[in-house]
Amino acid sequence: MSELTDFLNSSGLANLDWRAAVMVAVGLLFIFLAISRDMEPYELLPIGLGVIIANLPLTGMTIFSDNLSGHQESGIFGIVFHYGLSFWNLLPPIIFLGIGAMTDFSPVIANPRTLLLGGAAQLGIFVAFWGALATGLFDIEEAATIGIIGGADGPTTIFLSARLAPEMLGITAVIAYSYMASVAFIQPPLMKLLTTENERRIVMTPPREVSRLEKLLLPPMAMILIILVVPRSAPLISMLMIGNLFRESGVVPRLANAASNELVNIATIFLMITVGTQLSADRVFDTDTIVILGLGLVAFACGTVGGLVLAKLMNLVLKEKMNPLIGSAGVSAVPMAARISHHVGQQANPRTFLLGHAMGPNVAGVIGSAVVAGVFISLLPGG
Amino acid sequence: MTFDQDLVNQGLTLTAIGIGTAFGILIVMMLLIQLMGWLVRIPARRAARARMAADAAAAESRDKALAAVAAVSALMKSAGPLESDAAVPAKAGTRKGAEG
Repeated sequence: MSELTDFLNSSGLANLDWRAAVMVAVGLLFIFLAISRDMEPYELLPIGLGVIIANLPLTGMTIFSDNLSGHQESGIFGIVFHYGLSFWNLLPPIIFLGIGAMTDFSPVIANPRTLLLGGAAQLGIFVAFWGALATGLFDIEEAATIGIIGGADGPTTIFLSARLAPEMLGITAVIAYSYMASVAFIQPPLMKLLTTENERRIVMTPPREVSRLEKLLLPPMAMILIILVVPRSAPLISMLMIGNLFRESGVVPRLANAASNELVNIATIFLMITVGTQLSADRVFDTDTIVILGLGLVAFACGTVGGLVLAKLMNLVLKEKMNPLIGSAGVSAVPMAARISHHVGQQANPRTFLLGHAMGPNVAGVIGSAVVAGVFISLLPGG
Repeated sequence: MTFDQDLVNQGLTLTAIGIGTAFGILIVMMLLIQLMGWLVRIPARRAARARMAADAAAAESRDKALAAVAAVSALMKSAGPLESDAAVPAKAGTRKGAEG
């Protein structure tokens, strides 16, 4: 009888507290949203599974032990988190390699002015950074980690969190991806509030044809420039540009395919499940989490506003006016933010095709947030 | 909400350098891309100029040829009908029919 009692006491049911049960429900909600609503399914589905794994009691899957004499003490996601993120921070750069291999820089080359919109959208990072400092709840490294949510770039958020505040990695990553999945709700009201009907109706001339030589020259040129200025952004920027050169060179299709398919998919599986496993109940049921959630929303909103306002300002001096809606795509969130710009433009004027134009600030936003992350790592003591 | 002065200074430095660097890099990239586009399109511009010059030359020689044809036609008209025209009345009729 005592064996049966011991067994029951060692079961998960006996050790499941209500907070963990709520988190399991949250994990199931993520899975539901990913499958039925198609909301960031590549992220939310594995994150949801990770949340469930992390909150089922006594699985030991998120434990990491560096005790050499301890056999079988570490769980798979504890090991992946330690070596893939907090110790070597390998996974975000691998994802960037894949993003580079999937990204077409033609819109940026065709209309380089749109790069500035990507810069303006980084405003959200600094508003959230100051907001986090103002609460007095976070130190400066944590504030920078919260701020980078405004960059709306999942791998960059994970990369910086793992470096500056690993204990916040799960929550910042999930908030970043959740807001990225929600740009369709967050951005359009702000876009309509800050632009007039006439501005939204502006038709932009199609981007010019970009030569192969230009596409080949951009990745090495950008890589050298950015890394010379901010060497700490190299893990992200170099991998982005290497992936892109694989793609544009046309001579290594197998490498480009591997980077944009197998490699990025494997990295996504481990990265996203591991991020989910960082959302244990004891971390989430905390005032800080609610504050981070609010600051993340402020960051996204301010990034959107920054891009829109700069586009309107640029229109004051440009001969050929641009549709300011493309400014909101500067918050990265590739390619959803560009699609939102296009969609809102089409609502105002069905003859407006903004997708190609909005991809410029979208790509610039990725570069801009990686640069800001590099600056944070360079200047902060924990970096 | 109280700010430690050191924290404020550190935050301001981070903000200024962060925004400045992001914008600075993107502005330099914008200029480099514009320069690259301009340089890369030089051969295309040259080819276009050469094509235009060739077209102009061809048009000029075509004009000269037309002028020569016009001059010869005018001369022939002023010299009266040729013997060969009188020798083939049927052909002249056909031509007239075709014109009608």
